[in-house]
Amino acid sequence: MSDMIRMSRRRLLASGGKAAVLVAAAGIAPKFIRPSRAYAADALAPGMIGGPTGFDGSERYQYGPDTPEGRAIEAAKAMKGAGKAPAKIVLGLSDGSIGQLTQPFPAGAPSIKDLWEKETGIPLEIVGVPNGQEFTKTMQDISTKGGAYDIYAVEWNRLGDLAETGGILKLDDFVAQYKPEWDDPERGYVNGAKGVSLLNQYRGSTYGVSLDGDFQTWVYSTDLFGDATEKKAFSDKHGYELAPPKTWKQHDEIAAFFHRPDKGLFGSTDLRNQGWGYTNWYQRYVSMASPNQFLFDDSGKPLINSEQGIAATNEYIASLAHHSPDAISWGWPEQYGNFAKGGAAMTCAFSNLPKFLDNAGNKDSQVTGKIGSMLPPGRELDGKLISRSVLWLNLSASVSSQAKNPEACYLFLQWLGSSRIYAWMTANPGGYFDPFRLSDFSDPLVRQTYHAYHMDVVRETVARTVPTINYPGATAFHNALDENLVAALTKAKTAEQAMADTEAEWKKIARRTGEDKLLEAIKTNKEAWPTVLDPIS
Amino acid sequence: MSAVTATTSEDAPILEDNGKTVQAKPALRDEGAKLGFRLTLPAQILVLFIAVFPLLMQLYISLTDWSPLSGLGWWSAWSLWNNFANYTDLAADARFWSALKRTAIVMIVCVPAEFLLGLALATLFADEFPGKRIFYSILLMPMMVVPAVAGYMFFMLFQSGGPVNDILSSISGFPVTIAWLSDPTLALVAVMVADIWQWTPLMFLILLAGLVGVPEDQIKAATLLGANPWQRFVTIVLPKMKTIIIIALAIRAIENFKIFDTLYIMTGGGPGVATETISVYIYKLTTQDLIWGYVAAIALAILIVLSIAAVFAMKRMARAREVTA
Repeated sequence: MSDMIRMSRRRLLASGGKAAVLVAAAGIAPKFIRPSRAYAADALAPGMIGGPTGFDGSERYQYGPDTPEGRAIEAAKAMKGAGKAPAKIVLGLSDGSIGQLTQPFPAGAPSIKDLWEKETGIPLEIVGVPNGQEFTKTMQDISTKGGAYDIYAVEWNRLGDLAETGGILKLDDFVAQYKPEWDDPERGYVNGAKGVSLLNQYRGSTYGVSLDGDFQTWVYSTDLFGDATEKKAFSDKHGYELAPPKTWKQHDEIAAFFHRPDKGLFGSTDLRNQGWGYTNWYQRYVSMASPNQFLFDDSGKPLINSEQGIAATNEYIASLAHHSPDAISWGWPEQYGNFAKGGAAMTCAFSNLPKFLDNAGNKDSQVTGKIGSMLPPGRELDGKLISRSVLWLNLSASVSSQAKNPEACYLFLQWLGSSRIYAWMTANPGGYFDPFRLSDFSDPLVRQTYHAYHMDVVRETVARTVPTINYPGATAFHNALDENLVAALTKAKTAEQAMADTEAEWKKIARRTGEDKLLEAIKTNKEAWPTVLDPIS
Repeated sequence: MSAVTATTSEDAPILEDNGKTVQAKPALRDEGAKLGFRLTLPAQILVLFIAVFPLLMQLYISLTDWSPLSGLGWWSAWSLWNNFANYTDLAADARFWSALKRTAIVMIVCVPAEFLLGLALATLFADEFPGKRIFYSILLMPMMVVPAVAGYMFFMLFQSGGPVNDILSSISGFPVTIAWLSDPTLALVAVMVADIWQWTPLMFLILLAGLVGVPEDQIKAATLLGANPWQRFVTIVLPKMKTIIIIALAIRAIENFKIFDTLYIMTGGGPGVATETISVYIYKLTTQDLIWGYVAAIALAILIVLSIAAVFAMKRMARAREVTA
């Protein structure tokens, strides 16, 4: 018996050795059998001058010399060669996004930071800024002439404020020289030149490079919506099929139907707290006219103290009935935590919710495989459905006026924000930067991280998204609205009072900021509003 | 050890040295004074610069509409001169007065509560008891917690399904689901509870230091004369601690006036502006509205009010020291 075991061991070892050789050969062979994959895995594909290597499909993110990425890299390399490159570029970046630049993704790939440094020889220093403090830290640096950062990354709608301070540089000359092609019809921004104008420009000049896609997107719990008993109970009660809501009326009825706080389930948890909640008021308000209910008219007069503004506010207040009792104090961490526990039938969040919660790697999530995405609810007007979402937060990067080498900073931003590198970066689950370029939505790696079912809905949501206020004084405008809405939610004010007070404060802010400056910005902002009208099905 | 005990301008100071008194020579005194003045002159100029320059700068900015949005440096703010408009606006700013009133409410509730709790605990800890050191460490712990962490901790505690309501439910016997932080009145209560939790230990620490400094012989004498503990506390301990009590109250009152981090994390000044204190209001005007000329005016007005209060407190303290000396 012992001899047999010994023999078996010997044989086992011999067989194991052979198997290892075979497996290794099988693993290596395709690289020789299929040359394109070999290039993609560990070297640049033919004609490419840069980009990531080391993983299957990496050739999608590689670039030739006549691409925005290629031009940026070549110029940065030339700068380095001529001894004109900066010793380093200091990027101030919100803590939650750093991972996407520093963590390699997918397995075998370099990190974004490593790739930039390897290709250009210019070190990149990333200084973390607490999430939510980006604008404050930037203003501190500008006002104290601290010069702590070469590049700021701030919420997109602060661009007007920052440009007015003179703390960020106009990038027009660099854009003309290096041609970033942000308006490329296939790979560029949604809405082409109008999208670029909205996200990167202020008063006709480029001041920022968009690095984010915070289009607020609706998700729902598929196990609740797909449950036969729930479906029957709902249709018996309301006379129509239970499905993701098309209108606000349906949304409110479905939310009320599923609202079972005693069982830890809330109907809808789209945020109501200060700082975030007003984006959900926006969605109700802007869908009150066709194609949009605007915030200001063309003469700069606020339109919110109107029948529509009051109606939207009343709806917003009434919707608290199917929220958590703590809704007024809940931010997105509580919202995500609750949804992960299966605590809500529907919610509206950043497009990254499924990336984090419908994720087998997230052991705390109880909704993995149970999330569906839907377009924002809307209203039926003139025989069409007006469905609108909102762009909120969305980080944009700008070059500081105190930057040691503004051109190198711009080149880095052109490279980072260009379609190939950005798609690769946004697919990385290590941070908050979300897809926003046309090419992102069809990118296999992005679709894998964000889920294909979700990406298609996000793309359609983007087409129905209105921008938040992005004129000088943006924060003051939003704060005035926000505080009055919360006062209405807590019954400290009526909807009528809240809207009247907001209008009065907006007029005051406009006077202080300069009405002429605002008019121009209002018109530019308005051009980027969506015109999509859906058929009523 | 030497100390100056007489300082008329004509007489040279009398120095006490080990019980002996020595008359200093006038010439020597003048020379010493001059040398001292020369040696400290750079430091005095520096202090003057540090204290006075920002104040003058603040006053200057407060008289303008200067904002970072103007793109002008502070030295060019004169071009936005507004003829005291910030001060007239301030007088009519209802939100400022509400924030000030709210700050006063927080001070009026928190400081006495922290004082009474701190005094009670200090009295308890003045005597020896088993496990005193451990309890002492536990008691001081809240003070060591970073205010931002404390803020988030209390944010979680005061959720409607959080531990505070759970405790209230088990005490009352029926389910309590108060949405503390969503209610304009209760949110302020929650903020004050957090402040009292975090800063009572500081009050306790200061008062304990004062309590152990009370001369024991006087207490023993009073005990021999038949004074009961309450009488001893009221007639000997409290008067002896008057200075330290004023210091403790002044420190906490000033700190409370500036209450920010815990509150901001718990409520962000909301719901609406229901918990907006003066610091939160200034923070919003500074970082979000960016109206720095107006902020300078508010800050200066507050500085004046606080300085008057501080002078008043110092006078009381000096008087208390005279009484207890």
